[in-house]
Amino acid sequence: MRNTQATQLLFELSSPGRRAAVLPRSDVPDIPLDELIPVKYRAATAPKLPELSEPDVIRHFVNLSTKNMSVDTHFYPLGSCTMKYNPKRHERLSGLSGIVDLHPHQTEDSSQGMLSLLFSMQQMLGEIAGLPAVSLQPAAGAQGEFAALLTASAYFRDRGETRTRVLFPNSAHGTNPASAALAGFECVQLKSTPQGFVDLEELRKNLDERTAVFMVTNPNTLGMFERDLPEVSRMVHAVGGLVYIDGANMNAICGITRPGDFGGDMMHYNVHKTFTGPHGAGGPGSGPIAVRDFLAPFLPGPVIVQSTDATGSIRYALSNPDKSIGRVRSFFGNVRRSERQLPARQTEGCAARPAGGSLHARIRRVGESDQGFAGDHGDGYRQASARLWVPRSHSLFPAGGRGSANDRADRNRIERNARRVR
Amino acid sequence: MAYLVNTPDQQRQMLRDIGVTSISDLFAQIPGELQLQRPLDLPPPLTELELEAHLRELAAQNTVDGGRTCFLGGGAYDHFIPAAIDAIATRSEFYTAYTPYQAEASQGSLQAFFEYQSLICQLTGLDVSNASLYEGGTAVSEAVFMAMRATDRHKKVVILGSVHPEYRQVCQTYLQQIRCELVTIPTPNGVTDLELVAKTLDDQTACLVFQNPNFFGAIEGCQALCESARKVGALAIASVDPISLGMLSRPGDYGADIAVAEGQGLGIPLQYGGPYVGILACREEFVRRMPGRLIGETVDREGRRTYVLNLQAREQHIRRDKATSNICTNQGLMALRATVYLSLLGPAGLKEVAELCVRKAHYAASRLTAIPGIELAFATPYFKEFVIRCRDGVDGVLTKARQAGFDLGPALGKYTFPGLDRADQCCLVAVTEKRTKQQIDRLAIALGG
Repeated sequence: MRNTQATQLLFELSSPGRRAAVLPRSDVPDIPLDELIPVKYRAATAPKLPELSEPDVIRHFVNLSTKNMSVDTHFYPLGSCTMKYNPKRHERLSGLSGIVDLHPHQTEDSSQGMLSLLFSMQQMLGEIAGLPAVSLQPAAGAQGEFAALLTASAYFRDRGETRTRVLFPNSAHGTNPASAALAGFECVQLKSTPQGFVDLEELRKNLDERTAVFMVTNPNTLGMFERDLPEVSRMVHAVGGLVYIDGANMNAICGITRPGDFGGDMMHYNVHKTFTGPHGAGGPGSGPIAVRDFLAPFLPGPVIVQSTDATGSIRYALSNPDKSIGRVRSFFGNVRRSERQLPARQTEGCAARPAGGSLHARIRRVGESDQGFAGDHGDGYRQASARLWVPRSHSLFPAGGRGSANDRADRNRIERNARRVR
Repeated sequence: MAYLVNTPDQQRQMLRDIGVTSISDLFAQIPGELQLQRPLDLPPPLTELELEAHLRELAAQNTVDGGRTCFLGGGAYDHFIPAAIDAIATRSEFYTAYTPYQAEASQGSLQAFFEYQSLICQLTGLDVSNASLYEGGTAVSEAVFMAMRATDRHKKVVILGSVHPEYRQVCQTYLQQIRCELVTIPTPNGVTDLELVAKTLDDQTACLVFQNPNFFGAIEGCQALCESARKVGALAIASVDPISLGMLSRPGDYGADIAVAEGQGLGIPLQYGGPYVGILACREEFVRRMPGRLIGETVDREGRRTYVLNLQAREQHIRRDKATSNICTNQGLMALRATVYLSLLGPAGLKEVAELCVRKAHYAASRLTAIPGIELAFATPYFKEFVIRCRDGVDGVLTKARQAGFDLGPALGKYTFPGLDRADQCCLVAVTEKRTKQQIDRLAIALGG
């Protein structure tokens, strides 16, 4: 039975004077506020937030949660973004004291456990990729792409080369061209073969000394393994370019084949797809990148390094690669996300190769694709969408916010449209 | 947990259903020479019980002698987190949900993000907020890109030296490839010299980026900064501490065009620096230049209120290389935490948190500066953190505090601040509402007060 009252907007549920969180009274000497912060710097009133009790808030969000479809409530056979069950223990462990409450400015001495964990993760991600140098900095896959492209660009600059173009097949995810543009490259989109693979002829025509990077997702966005990648890689390397593997579909091939072995020079992981970061209804992601040795000096920093001191004990430290492109975010990475990769791989043990647990996923990804599993995205998807007609955009502006006259006009127009459609 | 849940019989059945004989057939399209002919070289698998023990051991190495008291600041703060936030954010209907491309399957999260946007608009006093970005540093960079497009000025960005040094570094990384100059204005006195700002800004400048309270904890003259940006047609970008908005003037009040913030203080644990949440709000006229997701309210076929991803033509999945940003997702679960936090605190609660921070920080400053050899580095009003200058160098003070169980910092010597003298004698001290008078007194005593 749905509680529709509780899922009204917070501002509609608000009533003046209701409180949830209450803070302790100040225990320090009482000095007039005006003496501490001059009145000219202060707001005249507190921000107009809703006023609610804790049960109001809980009921609101618990009821909202029931309006979601999720892995824990439904089978979620989504093609492009690997929805899978994650062990509850991982969520719990990421909340351990000593992990969840660790301040990023704590000294290296008092963070050795965390640094050791992150170091072993770098090692494992390098091994799984077949690309040994890893940076955990990027906050999400898209930022991993961006960081890797900057890394490539710093490498070329270091060699005195100016390369201006990034190539990718037209089946590429939108983040590929968007990241390339953000990194200052010219984007060249190549048509694919009728079967949805990289078109070698088309690639040959577009490769030249301006080529910096060829970006490709493998298995590709249609779920098929790009079996010509070794040849693609030879062609790209022949003109001095680098090959980037978008790791979005890495889950399907983890432990079966490695980007570094099929021709990639750089890649990113999406830990919520390949390992056990939760999807979280859209983030947080975490997009570690793995690259070949010769690109390691250019990686975004800090990275974690291991050393042995005079007494023979192992120590971990944060370090910036020599010619690093710099930071791509503050602090070190989405640590609490990244850290889930460790439990995932350790429990699963990639040795368990023909992973029956992921059989479904793999059937969909790799096995069936030649027989047209590109349609994976098709029927289920359309069917679901067709149940509900959602008109485009009307009110961007929050309830209780501004622009309500326009909102009303828009709403009326949309309601008229809605009636017409019915 | 057992990952391989299907029995051999079930596996055989599944294979039969799809017409193949073995699991390796499923990988037949991967050429044999590309297949890895050995198991990955990884540590051996652990059961749930072993894994828990392993992680507990690592976690224990992170805290020396058990409980420590946190006076660390510099962009991440030890604020109080009401239990209701974890109760909501650990609901698996939220954390195991897919990104909300299918509106009909994601109404819960979409409404929560819509409410997040509403709350952020109230907090910043601006017209429109997106559904969140990665974190505070990248939010600054995204705002800078917005400003470059809005002003059609692509060659010069001005940032104050009092902005978080890591945000400045991120901005440098983002701008390095597109040959846009990032001009940093020195802030030797803890806040900004307005004349110097006016001299640096020109009609080629896309935006002026400042932080309030700034990295040193000090309160900037925001209104004047916004005015000087406006004079040359540049946008004013304010990076703020959301907790401070329980008391300090809001970006919309002092004329900022874009406000960004690190939202960690809003109910997100420290978790060694991430994941956090990047807040970005702006005036209405810039809405089509915004990066990332925007949630809008609409009605469905039956006339019911419904929430959808909005103005998607800005985004990478439609506009590709012409998108306003390459960001794909928002920071969903963290934005949810911030939403629940602000709902629980309300106007009165947020004001109380802000006031407690101010009062306790000032008490701590008075106790610490009574110690011979320690003084405030700057004579400016500050919010919840401040810089102390230690005559005999900062390392001794930090070590002494650490030995007594207190973490202070970061030391300013860790970063570069143009124009700042004797940075190696300075460090930050942050005091949140969680610190007690007793803890502050003990810290002062440990340092010789």
